[in-house]
Amino acid sequence: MKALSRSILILLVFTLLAALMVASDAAASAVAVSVGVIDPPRVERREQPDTTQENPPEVHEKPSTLYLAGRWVRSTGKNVIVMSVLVVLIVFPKSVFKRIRKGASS
Amino acid sequence: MSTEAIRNTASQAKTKLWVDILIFAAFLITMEPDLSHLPVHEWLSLSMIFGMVVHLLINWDWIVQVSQRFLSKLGGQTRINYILNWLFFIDGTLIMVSGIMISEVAMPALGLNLHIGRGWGELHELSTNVALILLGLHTALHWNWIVTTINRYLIQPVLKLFIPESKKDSLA
Repeated sequence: MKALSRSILILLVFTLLAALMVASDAAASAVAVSVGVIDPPRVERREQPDTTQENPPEVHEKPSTLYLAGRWVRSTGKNVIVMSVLVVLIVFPKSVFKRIRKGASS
Repeated sequence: MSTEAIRNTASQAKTKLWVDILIFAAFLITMEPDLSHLPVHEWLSLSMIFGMVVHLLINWDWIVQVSQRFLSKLGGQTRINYILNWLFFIDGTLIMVSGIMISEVAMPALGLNLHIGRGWGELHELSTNVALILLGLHTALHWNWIVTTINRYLIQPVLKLFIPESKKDSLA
């Protein structure tokens, strides 16, 4: 019961924040349009695929699983490197500072 | 601490660790929508709301305690950690909202055809890049816990498999 009420609370905060974001976007767009900063927003509807085409779309060869896996490893590696740099920049000085403080107190 | 209390703490720490590993893996996969393909990206991202709720439930006590003491006596790092966590939550919400607004698979499958406003796509990309940095900072601030828990519940149990029986007895 506790877990359920806490989950509802978390989702409520999430929903309120989300609603605030959507409302802010709508308000900002309305103000910008009324002031003349931007044109009225176009309602972009996603086009349905045209099935009556005479020329069927070109069929591209699907890249191999190994190639896709390699690309995923490379791009994920970049993301992990970014996070690792931040971790090192924060953790390393902290541990050095701790050692200095320990040495000074002993 | 009683034996039961120790077992509960250990079990909580293990649960926390596995939930966080799963969320991190899902995050890495969803960061590459071109490679994971859009349906996987959208549905996995939506399921991360569940992961976020579980993560917050597991850390509920800390959240409540720090929230109550935020304006009174509190360590500097704890305060920074708390603010960072809130920024992460807000950014995560922005990623979800912008992702839902530009959704091409999940929302239409649920029967929702949303009007795409200007800029939600750019906002989605920007908030994702900010999330990468915030996750790095969040990881840095919890590094000691991560290293200790992985060592205790992942590395040590695996290493023990390779220790001969005779040495295990002498270690016990």
